[in-house]
Amino acid sequence: MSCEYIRQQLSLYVYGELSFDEEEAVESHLDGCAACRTAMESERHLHNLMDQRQWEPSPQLLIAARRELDSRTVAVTASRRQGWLIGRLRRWVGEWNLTTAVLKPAGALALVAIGVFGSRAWESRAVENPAEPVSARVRFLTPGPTGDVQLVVEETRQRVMTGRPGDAAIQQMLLTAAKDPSDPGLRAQSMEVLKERCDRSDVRRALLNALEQDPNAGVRLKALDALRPFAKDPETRHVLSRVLLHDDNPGVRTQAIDLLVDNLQTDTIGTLQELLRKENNPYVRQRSLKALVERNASIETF
Amino acid sequence: LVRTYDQGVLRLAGNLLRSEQDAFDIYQETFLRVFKNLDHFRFDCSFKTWLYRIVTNLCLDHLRKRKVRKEEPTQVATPEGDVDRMAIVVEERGYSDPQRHLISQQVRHRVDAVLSDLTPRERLVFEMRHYQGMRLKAIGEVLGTTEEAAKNCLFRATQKMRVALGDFV
Repeated sequence: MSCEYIRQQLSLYVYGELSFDEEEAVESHLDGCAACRTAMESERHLHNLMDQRQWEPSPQLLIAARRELDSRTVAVTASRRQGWLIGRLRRWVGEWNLTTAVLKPAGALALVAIGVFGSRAWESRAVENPAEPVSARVRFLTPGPTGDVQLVVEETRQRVMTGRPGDAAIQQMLLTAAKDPSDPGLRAQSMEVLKERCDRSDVRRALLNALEQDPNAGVRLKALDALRPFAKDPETRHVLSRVLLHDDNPGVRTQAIDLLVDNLQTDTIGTLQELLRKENNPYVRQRSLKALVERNASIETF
Repeated sequence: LVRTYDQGVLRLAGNLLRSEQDAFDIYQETFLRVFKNLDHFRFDCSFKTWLYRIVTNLCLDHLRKRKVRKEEPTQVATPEGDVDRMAIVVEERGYSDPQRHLISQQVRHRVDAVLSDLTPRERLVFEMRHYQGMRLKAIGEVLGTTEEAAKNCLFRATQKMRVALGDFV
């Protein structure tokens, strides 16, 4: 296969979008062609450059979007329920044959009133009575001899807790929210509040876990930000080093290198040397290189 | 279901439209349509494909209208020259190091310039493959076209990127 053909395939090869046979052909050509290997390196570099302008929604935007959607779906549900009630009543009235000119407008007015006030009453019930279960699930069902049925029901209820972030119960809930797998926005907000309690070892442990393991880059950045005052703490530095080497988000790596290099200690030198072997992001590379040169350290590992 | 997919929806809309407000609006419109039409979902494709079909159609309409009206530019004027709207949002998030700013600013400008010159279809395919990591087969299903057609769009988009970023590679 010609070099020209192979070079046309390189982009799809990097995306992993070639068929097995096409991929084999590209790889065997690359093995024997130095010029195409160079072109391949350029292709990878091009992909890295394009990565630089990826946009991630902020947790605040996500939270705002979810809140707005919640309120809009409540409105849609209420209007559907109202429409359903009016439809049923109309059919009912129709069956009675009350279609005189006088009864029609009066009936319509009554139906609208029932619909409007009915839906309002329903909505206010949901909002004002927080003790109502949010969800319920029947776990066991036992039929009795007299025709009764005994159910064991699991219910989820909402309650409002108010207090200082330092209150034991509030802090425990915040630590739980910081790990809630279903809601990155909530995790990010929890990080923001827990930031003030970072002097406690259990809070710091939760932030370090989030920095290293949270799947959402925005949450990891929040955790990193909260840990800034502890940049000289050995455990924090270990985690930052691992993040620098393994986090796939260039924004997080950028913040991590800034924090480590601004508080440079000898335990970081090895990490920076290892980083140079694998890092593609130009800024992270440059900061690492500069820190090593300033410390008169080798820029290679042996 | 919303919590499973909504971050991806917001990210796709934001990357495509380069405006937080537009991404917010598309998010609302998408999930309201899902909510209203869930009864009509025929299970002839996966839920994700159906959902992304709605998002991409809404974004495509928006991009086409924008092209016709020539309004809502993705670039805004600043004292330092034209800057991408989303770049301002990113900067506000705290990457304030001037060295890093200098290194990546030019690259970002060129990428943004190419993105705004791509056809809406090329743009959709590129965004979904490069930034969302979706396979071309799935993209074809979302756009109601073949994998081969999606591959051609991606090929054209990356060619344009290569030309624009040639001196950085």
